[in-house]
Amino acid sequence: MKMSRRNWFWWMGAGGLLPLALMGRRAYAQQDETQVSAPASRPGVRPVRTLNGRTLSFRMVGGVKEFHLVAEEVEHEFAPGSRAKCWGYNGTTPGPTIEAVEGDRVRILVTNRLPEHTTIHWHGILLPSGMDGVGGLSQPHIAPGETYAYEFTLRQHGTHMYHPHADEMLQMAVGMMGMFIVHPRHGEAVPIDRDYCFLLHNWALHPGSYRPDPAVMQDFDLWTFNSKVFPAIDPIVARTGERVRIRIGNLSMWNHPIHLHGVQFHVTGSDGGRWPRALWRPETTEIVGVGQTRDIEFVAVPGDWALHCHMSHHTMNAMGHDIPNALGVKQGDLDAAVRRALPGYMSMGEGGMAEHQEHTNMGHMAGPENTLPMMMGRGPFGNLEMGGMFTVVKVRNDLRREDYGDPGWYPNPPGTVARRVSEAPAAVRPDEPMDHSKMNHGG
Amino acid sequence: MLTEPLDLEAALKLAFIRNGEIRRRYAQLGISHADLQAAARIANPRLSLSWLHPQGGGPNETSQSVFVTFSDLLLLPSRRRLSAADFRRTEFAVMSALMELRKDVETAWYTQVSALQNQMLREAAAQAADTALELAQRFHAAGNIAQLELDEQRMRAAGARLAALRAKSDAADARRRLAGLLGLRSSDPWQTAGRLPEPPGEEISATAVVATAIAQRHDLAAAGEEVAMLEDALATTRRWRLLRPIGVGYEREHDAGGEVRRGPGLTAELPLFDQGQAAIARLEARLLDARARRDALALDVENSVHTEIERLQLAHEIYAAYRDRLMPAAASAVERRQERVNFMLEGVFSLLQARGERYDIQAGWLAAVRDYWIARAALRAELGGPLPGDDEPRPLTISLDDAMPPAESEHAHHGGDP
Ligand SMILES: [Cu+2]
Repeated sequence: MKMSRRNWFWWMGAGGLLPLALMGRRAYAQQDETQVSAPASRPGVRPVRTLNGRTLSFRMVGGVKEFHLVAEEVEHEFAPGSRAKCWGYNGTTPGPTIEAVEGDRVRILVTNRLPEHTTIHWHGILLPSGMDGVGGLSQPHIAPGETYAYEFTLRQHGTHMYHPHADEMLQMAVGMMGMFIVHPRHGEAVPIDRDYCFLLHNWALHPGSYRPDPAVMQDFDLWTFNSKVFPAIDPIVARTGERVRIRIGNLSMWNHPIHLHGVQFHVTGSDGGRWPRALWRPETTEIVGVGQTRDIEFVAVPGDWALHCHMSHHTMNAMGHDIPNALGVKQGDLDAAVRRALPGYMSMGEGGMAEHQEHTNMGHMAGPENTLPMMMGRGPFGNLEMGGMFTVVKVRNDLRREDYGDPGWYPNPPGTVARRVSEAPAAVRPDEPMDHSKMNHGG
Repeated sequence: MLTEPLDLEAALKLAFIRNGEIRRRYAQLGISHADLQAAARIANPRLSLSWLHPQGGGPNETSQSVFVTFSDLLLLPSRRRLSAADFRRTEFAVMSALMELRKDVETAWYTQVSALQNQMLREAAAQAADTALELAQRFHAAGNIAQLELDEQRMRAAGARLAALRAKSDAADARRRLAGLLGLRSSDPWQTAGRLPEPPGEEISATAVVATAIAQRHDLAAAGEEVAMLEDALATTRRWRLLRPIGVGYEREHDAGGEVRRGPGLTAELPLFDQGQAAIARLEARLLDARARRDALALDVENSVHTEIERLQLAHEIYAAYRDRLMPAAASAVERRQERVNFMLEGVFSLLQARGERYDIQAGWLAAVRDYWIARAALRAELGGPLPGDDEPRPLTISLDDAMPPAESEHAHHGGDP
């Protein structure tokens, strides 16, 4: 089912009361949910968890795994308070993850319900040239209303992606992408307990607007894992000691240094498959370049651990990059004078931007419609002051094997949380030995 | 002395009694100051029920008769001293002068009130620009902006201050002009009301107004009377030319107030050679001339009224475009920009600049309201009497409050409600 224009405007008028994105999904929900993916049923093959997403179902037709993707306009929510009219597959951006096993023959039907032609390129998959999906080069474009069939045998395993190769800049800018995971035929020598995947992307959803602007090349407003921004991104949940793999693909326009706290992970694979162990390398930050995929693996250690892009503005939502720098400028005493002309004005930023989330949390500084504050999220100790490409790896000792639910905040063992030792700035000087007699060392 | 702020009605009352020009006319007619006071006392309560003060007025015909009553009252003491013809002439001259004075006073009053409101608006804009400059100086002193950006704020603040000074000068000029018309000293502490009235929602139709003008213009009525009088005189002369050696003379003369008539007079003649043919021919020529003048005047009145109506309708369209389109859009744009500042998408300087643009738009709106009322006064003068809608209430509601909220007592921590 496709959203009509009238529905779209109705939704705008109703202020987003109803998550109509669901309507886009409904037609495929049945198909997706009634058939269980085969990979899980194979010994040694563990299906991936697509953050905030799902795996595409298939049906067996004469020994061929047949998938069906429908390219169409979708209603997408980046986080509560920010929605947009995007393009995706089967009702969502990113589209559902395709999962198959090395050696499978797959047929992927692609129906075009967009207002212009499209194709799908199976990024990183080894296949006949005519199945590669480059419009005009490998195949004719798929015109609106047409359905094409791609069919090939998977001769590899690894973390792959799919995306249009027709009007590519626009179609990707408005959300057309998905992951294509191929599991090894004979299982993995080092077995994985939890296998996650997500795509990195950027969006020019200008504040106050409702449709991504495909003409922007660098100054993006939203930075996403699987088209979601923190705190709407699912946590990555694991049990202590489990081996966790996170597969990350980048279909954005920037490279992203993805940083995981708490462990040294190994970079173990890419769209080249799982690398030989000799090539694995320990890191805590891995740059996932544009068009690349990277697998990282680690043994889970208990705690709540940040997983985020290390470009600091990629862990924020939209903010101005051309605003006068207020840091260190005393302004508050002029607020009353400014308010004579602008009753809603309040100065900010003299001591930094940290106060901003307090103000937006309290809701007394309204922003543009359909726009998220630049800093969001609240943890057990206060505001996280994050947005965009940020989520939390939550590792607990007592999780069940198949439990992927959010376990809440980590209960830190006593004595393992950083603590305040003084409230007097003069009490501690870095160039002097501390006077321990004046300090509260807590328990 | 005057303690209450002068609304338009009070200004007109003052002008009708104190205006230098009108007092000279009264004096020429021998109307004493005491007569005037009496006339004002008697007439003004009735006038206040009519188009001079539209709040409670009756129908137009009543208004018109009230106006006549006023001039009547003014002339009452001198009536005995004037011939009927002189009375008509004087009545007409005084009415014309009063109409003209009324228009001038209205124009001056609307100009003065709008100039005062504009002065306040420009002062607020200058203060906002000064605040922006002070902020910029602090940003610059903290090392956060360059001299160029500071210079831009200095230019804006200076420009806004100059606009405020010009507005102050305009208001002083307008006050002097109004003072002259009202017979007041501009240095005395009198004040006009603080707000312009809101123009009506819909503008009047042209056809009704033209008909009204044809019916109530005094000069047109006079021209018609002249034609009638000449027709009468011609008939009389023709009837009596052989029996009575008497012709009916008719003269007219001009004065500064327009063309006026002098009534018929009797002339005795010897009918030896002249049996009245010459007098008849002369009267016929005068009649033709009077008819041509009446028709030309009627056309002229109609054209002038059309011109003023168009001017008024355009003034109303301009006002309505400000009210319905530009003002709401500018208010919304500033609010949207404030939201962007709230979310750190934009800075305080561009916000204050947007507010400055809104001040400019509000100044244009004030001028549009003023121009509407001045156009209305001009049309009324062209009409020679009240306009449709004159008797509807016109509260003084054009307010800049939302442009300039009062200085707040304390607002230490958080921004105002959105
Ligand atoms: Cu990044």
